[in-house]
Amino acid sequence: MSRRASSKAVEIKGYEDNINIIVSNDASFSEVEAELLNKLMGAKDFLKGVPVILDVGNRSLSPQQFVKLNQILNDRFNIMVSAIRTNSEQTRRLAVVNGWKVEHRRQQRKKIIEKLSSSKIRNRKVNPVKKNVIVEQDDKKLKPNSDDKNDTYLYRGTIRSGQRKAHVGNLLIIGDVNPGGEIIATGDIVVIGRLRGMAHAGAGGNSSAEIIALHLQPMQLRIADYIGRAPDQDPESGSYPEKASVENGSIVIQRIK
Amino acid sequence: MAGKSYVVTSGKGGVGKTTVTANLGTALALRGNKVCVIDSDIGLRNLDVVMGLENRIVYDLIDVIEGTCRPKQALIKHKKADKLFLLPASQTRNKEAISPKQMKELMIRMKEEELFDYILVDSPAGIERGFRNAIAGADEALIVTTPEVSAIRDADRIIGLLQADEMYEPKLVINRLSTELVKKGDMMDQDDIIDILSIELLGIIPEDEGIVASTNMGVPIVLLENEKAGPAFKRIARRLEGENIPISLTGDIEETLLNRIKRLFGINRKEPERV
Repeated sequence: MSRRASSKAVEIKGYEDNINIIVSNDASFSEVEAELLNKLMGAKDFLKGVPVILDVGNRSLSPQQFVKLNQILNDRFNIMVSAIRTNSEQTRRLAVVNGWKVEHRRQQRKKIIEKLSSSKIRNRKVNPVKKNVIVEQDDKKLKPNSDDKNDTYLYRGTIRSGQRKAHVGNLLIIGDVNPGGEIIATGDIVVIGRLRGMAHAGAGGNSSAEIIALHLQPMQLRIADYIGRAPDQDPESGSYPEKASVENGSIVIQRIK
Repeated sequence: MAGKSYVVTSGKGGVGKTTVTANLGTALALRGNKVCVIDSDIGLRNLDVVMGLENRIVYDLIDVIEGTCRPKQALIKHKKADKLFLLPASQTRNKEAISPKQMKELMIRMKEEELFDYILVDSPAGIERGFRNAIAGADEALIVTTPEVSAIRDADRIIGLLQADEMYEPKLVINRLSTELVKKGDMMDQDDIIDILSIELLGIIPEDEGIVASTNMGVPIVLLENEKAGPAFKRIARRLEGENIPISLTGDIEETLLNRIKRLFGINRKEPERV
C-alpha cells in the first residue's frame, strides 16, 4: 500500500455546520479503513459534538463493510454520524435498515470554512458576502515548509457564545472570544483580544502548544489532553498579555513581558 | 419611503421583549408613524394582553398567512393610539404552523399593502423555529437584555445567529437597569454589557415598578404619566427615527429625576417628547 494512495482514501472536510468524511471511490476498503483510523486519531477533537456526514460516493458497501465503518465511527470514536451520502442503492438500503439518515446526492456546500486533510490545507473563501471576514490564505504564498503545523488560520471578529472555530494548524483570532465560544487548533492559539470562552490548543496531542491572549480570562483552557479551568474566585486578571503552556503536567499561565 | 421592520428578540425569556415591543410601538405611533406590532409567539401569545387588546381578536397571524382573511381584517387598531395596529398570534396553533418563508412574504405584504412606517415583530424566547420565523422578514434586529450574566450570554448567542443570517448590525436595548444597584457595584452597568456584546447601544430602560401595573392594566407605560421607563422608551423611539439623543446612564435615568426636582420647584419645563 503506497502512502500516497492511502492519504487520498479518506478526506475530512469541515463546513459551516458539519464535517464531511469523504471516502474515495477508488481506494480499496482496507485502505479506507486504515486511513480512517489514522485520520480520526488526529482529528477526534474536531469531531466531538459536531454532526458528521459520511460521504461514500459511488462506493457500494457490503454489510460487513458497513458494520465495520459503523464500529469505527460510533463505537471507537463516538462520532455522531448525522447522515450518510451515497449514490449506491445497496448502501442506501443498508443505512436505512441501520437507522441512518440518507442524503442522496453530493451537495455542493457554499461555505467552506476549513478543510481538514493532512495532505493539503487551504482556507477558501467561496462566498465572500456571507459571515464574518475570513482572511484568505493562499498556501503557495504562506508556506515556510510543508509541515501542517505551520499553517495558520486568521479569523477576524468576535467568537460569540455557541460559535466554534476549529483548525488543523495554528489559530489566530483578531477579536474577542466570548464566554460560551470555543476555539480549537492542533497548534498554537493566539487571541488578539479577550479570551473569555474555551480554547483548546494542541488538540490531537501536541502538549508543547501554547495559548496566548492579550486578556486571558478563559472559562477553560485545554492543551493537548490537559484541562485547566478558571478559579471559582475571581482571579486577579490584569490587562496584560499572558501565555498558557503545559509545565510538569499542568497548565501554567505566565505574563508575557 | 418604504417602511422598516425590526425584530425584537433576546434568546432568554422574561427579559422584556413584549414590553419593549408594546412600548416602542406605541411611542413610535404617538410620534405620528403608522406602526404595526406583530406577535410571532404562536401558541403563547402575550402582546395582545400587554396592549389591552385581547378581547378584540377575530383573526390572527396564521389566518392572514393561510389566506383566511386579508391583513386589514386581522389588524387591531389600538384604542388610544390610532396609528398603532396589532397583528396577534394564534393561540391554538404552534410555531410549526408557519415557515420563515411565509413570514417573509407576510412582512412584504404588510409594508406594501398597509404602508406601515414601522413594523415591530415580538419574537418568542429560544432559538428554534419561532425565532427563525420572527427574524425572517425583519430588516434589522433589536436585542433586549437585562444586566444579568445569563441574559447577556443568550443575547451573545442570538447576535451570532443573526450574523449567520446576514443581520450584522443588531442594536441593543438594556432593560431593567437599576442605578442604585449599579452604584453599589452589585449590577453590571452598560459599559460591562457593551464590552461583551460589542454592538450599538440603542437605549437603556431603567427598572420601573410601574411596568407591572401597566402590564396588568393592559396599557403601555408610554401612555401613562411616568417618570422612568416611559420617557426612556420615547427616547428610543426618537433614536430609531434617526434623532441623535446621547445615551448615558445618568442621562437616561437621572435626567428625569432632575425634571422632577425642577417641577417641584415650579420650573415646569416640559420635555418636548412628553405627551
